[in-house]
Amino acid sequence: MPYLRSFMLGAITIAVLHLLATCSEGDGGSGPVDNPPSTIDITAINNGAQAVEDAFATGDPQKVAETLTEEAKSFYADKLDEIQDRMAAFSKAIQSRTLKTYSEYYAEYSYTDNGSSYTLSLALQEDGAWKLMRF
Amino acid sequence: MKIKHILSWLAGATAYVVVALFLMGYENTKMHPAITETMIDGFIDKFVHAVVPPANLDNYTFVFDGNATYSGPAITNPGYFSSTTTTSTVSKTPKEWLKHGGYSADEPEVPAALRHFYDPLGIDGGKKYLTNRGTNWEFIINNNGLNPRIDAKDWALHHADNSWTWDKGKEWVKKALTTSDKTKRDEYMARAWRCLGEVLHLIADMGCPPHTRNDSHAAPVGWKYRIALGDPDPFEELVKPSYAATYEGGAVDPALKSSCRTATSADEVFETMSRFTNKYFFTNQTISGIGVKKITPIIDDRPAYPSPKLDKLAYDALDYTFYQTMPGGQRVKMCKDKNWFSLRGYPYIDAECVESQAAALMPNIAEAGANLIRLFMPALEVSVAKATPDGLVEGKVTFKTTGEYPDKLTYQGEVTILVNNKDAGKVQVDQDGAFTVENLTLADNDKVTAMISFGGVYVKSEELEVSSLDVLAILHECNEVTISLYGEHTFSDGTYTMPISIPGASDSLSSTEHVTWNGQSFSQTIERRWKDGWQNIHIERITKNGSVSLDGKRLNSISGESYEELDYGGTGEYVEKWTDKIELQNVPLFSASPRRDNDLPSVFYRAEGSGVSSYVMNVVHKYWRKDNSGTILREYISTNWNSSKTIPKLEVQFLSNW
Repeated sequence: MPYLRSFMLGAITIAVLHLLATCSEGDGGSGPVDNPPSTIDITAINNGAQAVEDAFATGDPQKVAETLTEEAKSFYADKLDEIQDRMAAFSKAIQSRTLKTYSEYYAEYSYTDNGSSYTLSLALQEDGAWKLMRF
Repeated sequence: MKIKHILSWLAGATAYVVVALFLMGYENTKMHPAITETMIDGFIDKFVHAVVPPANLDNYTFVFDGNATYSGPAITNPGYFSSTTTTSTVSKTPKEWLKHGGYSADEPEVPAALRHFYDPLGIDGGKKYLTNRGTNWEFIINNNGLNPRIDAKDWALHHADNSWTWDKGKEWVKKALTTSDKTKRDEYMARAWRCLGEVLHLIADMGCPPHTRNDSHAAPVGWKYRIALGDPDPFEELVKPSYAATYEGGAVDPALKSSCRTATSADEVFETMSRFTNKYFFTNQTISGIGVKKITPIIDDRPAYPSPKLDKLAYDALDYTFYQTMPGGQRVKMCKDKNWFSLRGYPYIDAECVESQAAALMPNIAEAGANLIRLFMPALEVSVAKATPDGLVEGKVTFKTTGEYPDKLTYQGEVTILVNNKDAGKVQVDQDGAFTVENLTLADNDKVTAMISFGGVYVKSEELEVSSLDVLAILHECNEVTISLYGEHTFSDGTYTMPISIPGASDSLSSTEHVTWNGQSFSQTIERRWKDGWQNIHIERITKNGSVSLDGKRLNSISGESYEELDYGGTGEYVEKWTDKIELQNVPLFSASPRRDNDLPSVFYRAEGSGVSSYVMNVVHKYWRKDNSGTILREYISTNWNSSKTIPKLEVQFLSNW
């Protein structure tokens, strides 16, 4: 019995070293999967989408820009001011959203407005937040 | 006491390692292994089970997923960089090795992510490697060093820094064929299969639009610098492993198929696949053309790709989708431009487009991959030349050079002898690849075959019936050959039942007109011009050549051509001309008679019935006559191979007239 503790300690020590030194295949994103891993935090995706809805609800281009990915910020830079007066309406429209599909760091929502359906997509950021990539 | 604790600690550590390796050896469940599986299926269906297999796969059988496993180095623990990636020796079937290669090609992940791009057009100043966000890559990957400037094609096929290239795979195959040590042969083939698996991964990448359009996408999740490499690509993210099998049977682009099937090198297949993907598919950031307005790509630091272009696609206003009809017939959802704010906005690729594009890409990827497997296979022929009732079997393993294996080598492994399909023992070949077995228990009409195997590939000889007859020796005594094709032939002026023939000489042969033999090959040329007693001028030109199998029991090929001209009276006013040509292949032996007493030697090859068409490669018959009433031309068009009135028959007779 006293040796069992040493045995377990050896196994745990190597396991910890192993986990620190490597990444699992699932985390590695070595390819898409049919059913996304259960480790994906759907709540975080939905939180990201909610932050987008909230930002648009303010009608403030600056706040909306904060919810965009870096590439999207650059792409939409000169367009946000143009759509400012309709941001609140858009915020309402995307309340009908449903998460259509997602991978480890890409998510696509669909939503309907006046009987017409649309999509928007979010991407995972390095800080764990999901930001708007396309709308 | 202390030592016992240390030993217990070590035992625990070892137990973890053993369990971890066991659990991690078979993680083959994602995209690339799934695509690899469709390539293997495609290879079996398109080539191994083909009615006429490719020349380098004649008499080949593949056991990709049997009981036999082969030991080699596998990635047993993935990582972002080589320092955190673990390799161990494991045993796998050929299929498992191929699928493992599909997985291990991405290991270690970060450097792999940089080397898996090939832009066939080199849109960025001729650079075919990844340059999109190249500055970030350089800084992150190489500690602000140089971009390695390695493209996927070079990395997959030839690059010296890659241990698992196409070239290295072929080297392992050659080593496997030229060793007499079975254990080593198995180990070499494990490596060869992994190399091929990694190449198949990269050809699959050539069917992934961002990899062929210089469009960087974010690096592996969890790696903290990934965001500097751009937003994720929708196709890369949303294409599902199940699409590979769901869509593998779809239409293949005719031009891609033709190009891949005639390719003699892996380079050609890579070029074809990458150009196809680049030409027909957008990525989310390389869309261009005229949509609701002029659309320039999001990646705007270099010219837009010449195709596809939005204005060349069909736009459906009902679903706001740009469609492309592929040469193979599929209608592909290329991108959409529906926008909440402006009704129609900047085009994008969503999940529906991804599936539609995958449906068009997957069959083409499977075709390209199947052709790579075809080209990877060395061409070997196993033949049994002699099997006599006294228990003697002789034969040879011959290596035939191909575009991918241009240098001669000699097989040095063992050969399994099968008598009536039962294992009758193994024999080691000599330094020339020849083998001899004595003292086997053989009786007349027993069927003998020989077989070699390497890494799950089996190459069998044609069956040889035990006989005391030496057909090749009889053939060597024959100095004349004739070819005849009987059947209901349709000509330009009607349908007749008459033979089309390449005859022998019209009169006795001179020695220079004899069939000459060089081992299994033969040729004959007759050229004559003479005037008969009525002053008619005759011209006769007949050529024949071909080869027989090592045992003479199969006519591998024969090509005969004759031209006859008869000028009545020699005035040129009444002239007849006949031109005939017949090309045959793989005609079976019908009978062979040696010289004995008053009988001259003869060998007949014959086939009869509707199957005759499979032996006939080419037939030409032209008859031309000019006389006072004008000119007549009759030309052969076709043969009714299924005629019940005249059963088709072909006959090749080797005879001796001395």
